[in-house]
Amino acid sequence: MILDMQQITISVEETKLVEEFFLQITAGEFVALVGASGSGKSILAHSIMGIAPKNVICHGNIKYCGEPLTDEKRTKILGKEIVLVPQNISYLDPLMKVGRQVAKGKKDKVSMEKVKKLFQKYHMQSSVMQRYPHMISGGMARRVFISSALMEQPKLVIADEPTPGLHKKMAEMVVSHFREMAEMGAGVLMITHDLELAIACADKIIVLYAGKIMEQTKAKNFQSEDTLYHPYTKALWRAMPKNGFHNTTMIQPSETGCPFFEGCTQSKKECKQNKIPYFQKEDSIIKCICAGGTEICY
Amino acid sequence: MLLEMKNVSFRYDKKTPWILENISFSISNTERIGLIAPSGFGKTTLCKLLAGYETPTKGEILLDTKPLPKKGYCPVQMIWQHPEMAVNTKLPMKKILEEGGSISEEMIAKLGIQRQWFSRFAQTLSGGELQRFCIARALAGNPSFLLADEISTMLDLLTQSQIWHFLLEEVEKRNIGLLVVSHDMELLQKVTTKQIDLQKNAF
Repeated sequence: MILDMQQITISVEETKLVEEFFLQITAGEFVALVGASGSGKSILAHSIMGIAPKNVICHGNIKYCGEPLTDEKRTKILGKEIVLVPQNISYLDPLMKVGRQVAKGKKDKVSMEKVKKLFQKYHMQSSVMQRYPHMISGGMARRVFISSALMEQPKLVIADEPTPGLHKKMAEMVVSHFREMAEMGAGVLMITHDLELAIACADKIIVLYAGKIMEQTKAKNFQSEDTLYHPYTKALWRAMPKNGFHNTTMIQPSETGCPFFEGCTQSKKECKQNKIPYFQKEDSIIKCICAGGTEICY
Repeated sequence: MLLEMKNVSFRYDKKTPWILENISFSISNTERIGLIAPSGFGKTTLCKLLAGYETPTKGEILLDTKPLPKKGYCPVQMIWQHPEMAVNTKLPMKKILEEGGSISEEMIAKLGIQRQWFSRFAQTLSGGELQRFCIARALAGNPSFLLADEISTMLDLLTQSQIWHFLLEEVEKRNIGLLVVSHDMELLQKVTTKQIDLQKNAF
């Protein structure tokens, strides 16, 4: 087990952004965390890395390779064993050439040679190394980030929205690089709102809504609506253009009980009042009392 | 109403290469057209030209055989790909909404805009929430044409489907022509009646 998170709560002052969150990633596994904008995805990534703003408080157990992930441990392994592939170009130093940034400031021959090889691997000419961040395109920036992640041998790769704004082919290419990293033995966590992309590349998908996990399931279960159990996941599936582009009324997540209470057609009284436990059914873990399966404790 | 682009070429200055060359194309206010082309092809530039944000280097843009109005309300409204860059971050959201004119309660409700967001600033709302304001703002006046430039890439599937259903209903009801730019062919097939591939030069 590379990463094991349990009973995670993330809050800012009185507001809880993420609740009862869990996540397990094993070596070679590609996990996609899917959720609407504002559902708390990025803050989770930043909390694992320990780079969330100071007023963000994260409670719960985070274990990395069997040991608690403390701040002390983080300073030793961040950027080496755990790497973040950030969202956009603003994470680069605008005043440093990209080649130097990928080499992490090192100037020795071995490092520069490695950068060159990585750039070649991702179809960038070595002249790109001499450019400043504003001189590269969005697609190139992603490849620069990936090269940067591969300067060391990461065990855990966290990619925060790596594809928006890229056209389909480019997005697939970027994701295939993450797949490659998983095949080399790293655990990969991709954070995205693009469900279709997640289905195409991930092993496991976690669907987040209003800061809570609605369903964790195998990516292959998304091939049919019948193998999805949570009403929210089903609604997402039906909203895909190829699956009917189904319309629903706009709702705001409920604050008590199931956040999807208003949007669900089979909701009962208990759904609004109670704390909803997790249920296991086949490969899936579902936070819904109507889905069936056996109750489990997370 | 007919919005026409006649032999339009565009570049930012004489030293830079052409972004668009000799493009002719027209859309009526009862049509919904999808535009597809790879990144960097000039799709956004084309929208900016049609909405009057840029002036063609060669050729002309005509709205019912007349040039676009230089002053006052432009009946061709554009909704941008990055809503966070299309709003004034120093204004509360209510003011941003009012930029477009008066907006019906019904529209606010249908777009799922919450009253409590009105006093907030753009930085504290998510991309999906902001985009609803931008759509309401574009529809507030009396547009004859709406240009939607990758307006749902930042949205999750449920919100994407909700917003598109709302827009389709609205353009149908008010006879607004719709030009949709997207990478997503499946989406274009759902929301438009005709798709044009810029690269294949179908103009």
